[in-house]
Amino acid sequence: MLIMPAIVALQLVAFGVTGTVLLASGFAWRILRRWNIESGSELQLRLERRTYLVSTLVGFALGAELLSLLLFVHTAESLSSQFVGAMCATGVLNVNAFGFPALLLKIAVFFLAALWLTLNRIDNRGYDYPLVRLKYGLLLAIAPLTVVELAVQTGYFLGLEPEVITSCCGSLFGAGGRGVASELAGLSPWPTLILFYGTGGLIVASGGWLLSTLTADSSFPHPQPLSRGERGAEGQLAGMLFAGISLLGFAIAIAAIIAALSPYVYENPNHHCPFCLLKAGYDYIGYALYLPLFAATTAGLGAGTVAPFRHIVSLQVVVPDEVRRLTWLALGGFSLFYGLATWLMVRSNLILLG
Amino acid sequence: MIEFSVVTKVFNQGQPNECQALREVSLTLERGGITVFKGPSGSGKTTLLTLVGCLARPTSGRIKLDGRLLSNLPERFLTEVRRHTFGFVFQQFNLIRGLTVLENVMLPAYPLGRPYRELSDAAREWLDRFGLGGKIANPVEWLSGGEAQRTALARALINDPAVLIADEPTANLDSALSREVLALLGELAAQGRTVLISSHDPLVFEAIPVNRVIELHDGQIAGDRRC
Repeated sequence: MLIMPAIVALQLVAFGVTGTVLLASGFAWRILRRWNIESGSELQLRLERRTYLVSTLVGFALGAELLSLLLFVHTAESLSSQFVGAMCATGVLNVNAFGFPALLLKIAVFFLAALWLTLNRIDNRGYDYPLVRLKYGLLLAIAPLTVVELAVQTGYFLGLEPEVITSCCGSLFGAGGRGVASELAGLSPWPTLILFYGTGGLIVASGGWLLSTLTADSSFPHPQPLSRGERGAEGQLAGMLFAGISLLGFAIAIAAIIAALSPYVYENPNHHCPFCLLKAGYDYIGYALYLPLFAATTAGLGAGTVAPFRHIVSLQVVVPDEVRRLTWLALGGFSLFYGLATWLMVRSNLILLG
Repeated sequence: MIEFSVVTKVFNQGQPNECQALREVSLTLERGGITVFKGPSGSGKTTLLTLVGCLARPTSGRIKLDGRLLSNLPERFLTEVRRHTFGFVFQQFNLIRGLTVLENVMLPAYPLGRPYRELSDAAREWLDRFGLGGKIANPVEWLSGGEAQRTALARALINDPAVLIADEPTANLDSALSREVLALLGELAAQGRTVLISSHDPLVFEAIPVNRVIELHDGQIAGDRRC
């Protein structure tokens, strides 16, 4: 195992997050079983008081979890000089069998943690703890994932042996190889880019629809007045669609980075690595791409998830405001990502589409 | 309207020094008028008023304000309710030493973000009304007991609360000053505010037209008389 500050920090965060989430899970279980807002019992009042402490602690822990994804990727990238054969984070993640599973788990926990933080933020703004069961239910779903993530990440770091000769990104993201990465690298650029921009259009359209349902809620007279129930159903549908398309947009964006965008950046039709983008040699452009992409996906997911809760009386003002904010944030993040990706392709000397 | 439903308050619960200050108290307080809570020291008067004023939470039971549950509100909402609905007058005045009379009166309104000029004018108006117009620039250490309690009263009213809670407001005052402060409380009640007073001072019942007297004993309601 390599001992370096970033690895120690990542392990401390993982232990801290897992410990906090597990401790909070006991409380979450009690909330799910015993919470009754109508009751004035001693237990109910104790649960109400304790939920502040628990949700604050979990909020800090999951906030650290969000940052740890960035640190994990950065650490993998910075370790590439330590392993023979590694040219970028791909080689470092390939040193043992736990590298990529750890990354994928961290991405999954990242999105779930961000969703929990969004629900917590909304719940804290309702006067009657409107989402308390939902957010603690989600916490119970996150808990086992954090345990697995801790185990896999620990296994990964413990298995980082400097004498291991690893393979570079060319073999994993080579169009001729096997596996998902190679499949993605082997995608034809034309259809991938059509899909990429098509999804971008869908994101804008679904975001616009979601925003219009919010406007319809607050504006009067509406050109074609809908009943309260119809408006609510329309908003719910628009929310779920936007969340789903944001997630789809994320997956397609990653595929497009591997299949088409990376070769344009490297100006090499055979170089598809999504991690080399993080290197100084390419002006750390990967960070400028991934940060808005992750932020936008998180915001889109959050907006779509909370949109259906606007029918709750205590959230009737909060949810539309929050959905509007998150939707604009998502649209802004995706715009940044798409704008930068387009600029990178336009300025490239590579002619991939002829 | 404030409703208490089987409210219990226990301090230091589970500790050797556990103290049950209120035991399953249920009562309804209507808007307007003066209600006096009386009872011996340790009977639960102050605890009851702190629960009404959202300064503490019950151990069990529910408290409602105008039909809306108050006792389960998250802290940020409770703070809002406290700021807008209740004004407090304490036995020890609790004025901030080192600040002037005017600054003390304005202090509870700062978090609401009212324009300074408007706030200052409102504070001066209350102080003028309570005969303290000439002392606004004085540090509060210079005030007499009566003046200090009138300043505290002005401070309690700066956010225009519907309910004024006075915990033993005359305990540190002589009879003349007590009558003065009680007269002001009577005026405020006459203007439509709800005034809740905890006291075992007999002067309270003589000096102002009390609408209701609730007697507490060992944390329970021992008597409830409408006058």
